[in-house]
Amino acid sequence: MAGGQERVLKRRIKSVQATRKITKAMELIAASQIQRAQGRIAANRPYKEGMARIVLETAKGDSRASKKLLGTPEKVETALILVIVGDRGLSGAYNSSVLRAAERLIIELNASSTTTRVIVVGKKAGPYFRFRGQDVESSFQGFADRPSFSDAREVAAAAAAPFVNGDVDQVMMVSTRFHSAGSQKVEARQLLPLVDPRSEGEEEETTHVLTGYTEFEPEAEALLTELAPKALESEIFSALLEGSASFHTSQQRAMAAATENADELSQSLARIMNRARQDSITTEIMEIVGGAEALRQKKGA
Amino acid sequence: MAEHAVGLEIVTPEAALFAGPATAVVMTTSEGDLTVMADHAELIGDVVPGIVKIETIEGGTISVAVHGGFVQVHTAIGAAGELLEEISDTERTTRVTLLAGVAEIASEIDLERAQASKAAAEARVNELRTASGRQSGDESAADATAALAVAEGELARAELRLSISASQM
Repeated sequence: MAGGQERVLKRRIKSVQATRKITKAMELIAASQIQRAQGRIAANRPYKEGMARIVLETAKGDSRASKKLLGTPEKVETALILVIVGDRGLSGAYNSSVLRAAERLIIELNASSTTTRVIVVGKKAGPYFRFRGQDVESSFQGFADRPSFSDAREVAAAAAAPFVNGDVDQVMMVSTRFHSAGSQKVEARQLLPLVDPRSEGEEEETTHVLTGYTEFEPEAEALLTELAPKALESEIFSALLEGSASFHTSQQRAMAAATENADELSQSLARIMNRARQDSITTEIMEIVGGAEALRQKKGA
Repeated sequence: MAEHAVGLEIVTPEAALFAGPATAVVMTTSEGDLTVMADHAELIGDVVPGIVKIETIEGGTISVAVHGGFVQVHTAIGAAGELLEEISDTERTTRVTLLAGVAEIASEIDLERAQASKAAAEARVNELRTASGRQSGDESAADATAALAVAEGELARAELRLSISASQM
């Protein structure tokens, strides 16, 4: 019977609308999480900037410039790569674009005969690398949504240990930078040795008013050794915060698109269903009219 | 009054703990006690875990438990910026920036929670110490040492918290 098709369509519309409810809810939750994550980035900014300033001043004060801790190593035999993604999916290209960038970096490093070791943050990275036969040394998960500073500490300890032991010459990080609500970019950056702040802000330096002699307690070199792990923690923490903000932004966008798609789909399904219903009604009327006509002719005969 | 104040900010990665004027800040670096007042020389130092005392311009004292960090003293024209409201930006001021991974204002420390976390940390340290005595050599020993260091740090923080809030009473 023609009503069968109608029933099937009705069921599909219901299922699309149920999905829409979920995507809509996820969109709203993500939107509120963005607010929170952005607030946390803002709260972290004074610490991050203060740390950068202290590292810069200390690096300037250390005339011999601890070779091991600052600048780009000349020869990198082994590099450690820290990859930061999310714990959950349904967030558009957020996870995959970081993972692809990380893979590119690994291939690039391997091509210049550098051995790579990988540690990851986020549940979504493990399976990706496992599928591609890339060993993952350690994996942190469960806090990508709302990282706390002690989480960053743990990650920093894992990233710093092989560098301090001398097992790796360089530590890189691939993560998403949160520039603004409208723009997030995947970036690969060097974590250790610390990027020499002197080389970064050279043009700035000439205009910067030199305030003269700065005392160091303890001496600059010893201080730099103490500072390095703290600077690393701060760097990783802000990357985690920016990662979570980017994740929520990306998820909100993906879920908004999914909701819109569900709207369109249920609308077009409703049209098809209405036509099917109309068709079956027309057919029924034709049948009744035809039957009545046949009866009348029989009576007349 | 205000011209003898420094602009002090104590910031942790998650929030700013204190921002405002202070007549003096007393802390301990690895080289000894350090008191910073207005017009102090430019300085960068480490702050060892302990109490940092803030002398407020009203004459009171605020104790802050700082679990290790760094301090930067910056004296320049307009350095203290928004931290010293009454002073115009064209004057030479001192800004003290204290960065700490973990820090708490002493009066806000929850004594019960601190005691509970101390007990938990102690238990963890003991457990790890006995465990590390048994096994040695392989990779897990390195992990155990790292975990022990973390637990010991937690214990030290809990003890500091308790001693500071005790000194408040």
